[in-house]
Parts: sequence; C-alpha cells; structure tokens
Amino acid sequence: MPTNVLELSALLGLGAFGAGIVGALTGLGGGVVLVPMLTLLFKVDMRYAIGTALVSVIATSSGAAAAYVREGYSNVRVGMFLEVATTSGALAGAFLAGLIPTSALAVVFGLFLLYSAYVTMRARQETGRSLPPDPIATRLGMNSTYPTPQGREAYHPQRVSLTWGLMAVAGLLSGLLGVGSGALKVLAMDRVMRLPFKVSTTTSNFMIGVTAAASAGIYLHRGYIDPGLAMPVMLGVLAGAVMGSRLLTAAKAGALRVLLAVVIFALAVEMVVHGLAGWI
Amino acid sequence: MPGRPWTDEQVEQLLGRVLQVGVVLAAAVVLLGGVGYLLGHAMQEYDYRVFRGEPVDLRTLEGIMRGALGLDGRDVVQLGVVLLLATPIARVALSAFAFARQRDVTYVLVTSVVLLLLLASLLAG
Repeated sequence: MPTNVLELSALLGLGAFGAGIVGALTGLGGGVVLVPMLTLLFKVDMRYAIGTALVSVIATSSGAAAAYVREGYSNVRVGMFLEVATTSGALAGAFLAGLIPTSALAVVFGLFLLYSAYVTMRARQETGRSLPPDPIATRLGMNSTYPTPQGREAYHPQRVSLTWGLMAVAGLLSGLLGVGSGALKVLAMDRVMRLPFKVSTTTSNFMIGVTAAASAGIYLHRGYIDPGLAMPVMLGVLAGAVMGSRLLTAAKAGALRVLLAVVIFALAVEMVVHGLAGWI
Repeated sequence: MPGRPWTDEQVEQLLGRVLQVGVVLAAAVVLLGGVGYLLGHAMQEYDYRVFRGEPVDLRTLEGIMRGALGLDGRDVVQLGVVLLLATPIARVALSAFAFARQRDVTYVLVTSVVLLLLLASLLAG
C-alpha cells in the first residue's frame, strides 16, 4: 500500500492508465474497472470512488466522441432525444446514491459488473437492417444513413418509447454507480432501436459524457470529488485511452475481451461479497 | 456561410472540435494543479477509507474559483474538473444553437431540456 500522496498518485495514475488502455481496446468504459480498483485495491470509500470514476468517464467519453462524431457514424438526433432520458435518470440516480448505504451500492455494483462481464463475452455480429421506417422515429427526424464499404446506407430506428425507457434506467445506473453504462446504452440502441452496431456504439459514446456530467455536478457539490484522486485518475485514464486507440488498429481485441470478462467476473463476486459482509 | 442553415455534417465537425478543445484544456489545468498539489503535499499522509466529504472551497464553484485564483493546487485541479464537466454542457448548448439555425423547433426544445438539467446540476449548491 502507498504511504504518502506522491506514491498514491503514481500508483493510481498507473492503474488508471491501464484502465484507459483496456477501455479503449474493449469498448468497456473506465468506470467499470476504476470503481472496484479504487475500493478493493486502494481501500477508498465507495463515495469517493464513484465521484472519481465519473470524472474519468466524462474525460474518456468526450475524448473518444470528438474523434467518432467527425467520422459520421453517430446519430446526433437519436443521441440528443435519448439524452433527455439519460440525464433525468442520472440526476435521480445521484439523488438516490445519497440515501443508499455504501454496502448496498457495492452489491448493486457487483450485479452490474456481472452483466457487463456477460456483455463483454458475447460475440457481436452485424445483421442486415433493412427495416421499414417507424412513424415516431420519422416524426422525430431520426432516420439517417451511415458509411459502409458500399457507400452510405440508410437505416430506420425502431421502438423509440421502449428505448427511451431503457435509457432512463441506464442513466439511473450511471448516476448511482459512477459508470458510463455504455453496455446498456449500446444494448438498447442495438437490440431495441435496431441501429447499425457502429452507430449504436458511437452514439452511446456521444451520450455518455452528457449523462455523466448530469450526476457529476451533484457529486461535486456533495463533496464526493477529491482533487488528490481525480488528478491522477483523470490524467492516467486519458493517457491510457490515447495509447489504447493507437493500439486498436494493430491488435485484435478478441483474447483480451475474454480475459477482461474473467477479470470483471472476479471483481463482481468480490464487490458483492464485500458489500454483503459490510466491508465497503 | 452566414444566413444559410448549418448542415448536420458541419455541426458534427464543430461538436467534435468543441469536445476535443474542452478535454485538452481541462487536462492541462488538472496537470498544472496536480504539479502544484504534489509540490506542496508529496510526503503527506492520506486517508480515503473514511468518507468525510470535501470542504466548501473544493465543492462550490465560488470556493473553487477563489482558491484557484489564489493558486492553491487542489483548487486548480477542481477547476480543471469543472472545465471537464462544462465540456459536454458546451456541446449541448452548441447543438441547441445549431438546431435553432436549422429552424428545428422540436430539437431546440429537446436540447434545451437537456441543457437545463445539466446546468441545474452544475450550478445548484
């Protein structure tokens, strides 16, 4: 264990750097790795951990979205419309987090991790998406095109209301646990709204920063964000994310994905046990 | 091109730029504050096992500004965090403006709701 501020900053920065690389390679946000790292490894109180993780989630999401948004994959209208749900959910989540004991939060976090491990393992395949336009989505101007090797292809978002509801849940979890809940956002857009996968992932990334900013303001005012933790973690994660996105073109992330799923599964069990035993 | 509505592509380019500048600026401020903090507190002991909550000067915008102007390293880091929180807010504000230029009333409303929720969170307390 580090004994002074300098050692803590160095070790946290290094850990966050690793989390940033893993996040960029696998698409799983930093929060999922950072909260268990801070609470289990560095023995940081769950509330500080959540505040710190939210800051890094905003940093990586905004950094990545800056690159994606210009490639023309993300759907700004879909993102903006669903952000009403995620930000409302995030505010509710941040409010709830103040009422729930940290041991219960740890259990909920563990269960969320289990789900993330499952999503990480699952194979992804792009299916043909030639669905007819949905009347609500059409009214909201969501129909769009995205770049494919054969030129720009049209797609039509489906089931707007159900997706909106799922996004409110994603926002709630984000505000409650300090994660981006990108996995849930992608699931809603990919499976329910039936957007092309690349559109789902980039639009999700686009939304994560806004969602996290909604709850981070509340956490800042509540005193959950400590500069001594936020500084090394934010800088480490950003450096890692930049490094990871460079590696992304070179390395295949398949084996890493399996490894990460195993690690997350172990962390999930650990979080649940610590929460139930009241150690967190 | 003044007078002509912005195309979606142009708006996306601009949004990307705003996000990039915001994150780089925030990271630079956090780095500066971090160096100041480490110079003054490197050998200090710490304890994050028990939650105490941050003091007023590190959790209110007013306190952070005052401390950052006095070059307190920890407040400068917090100022960087506030800049980071402001980045998505700036992006949403810009989107609202862009939708207004496109005369898209529905999305001006949608974006304004998101903007209000974000501002309420950052400015309250």
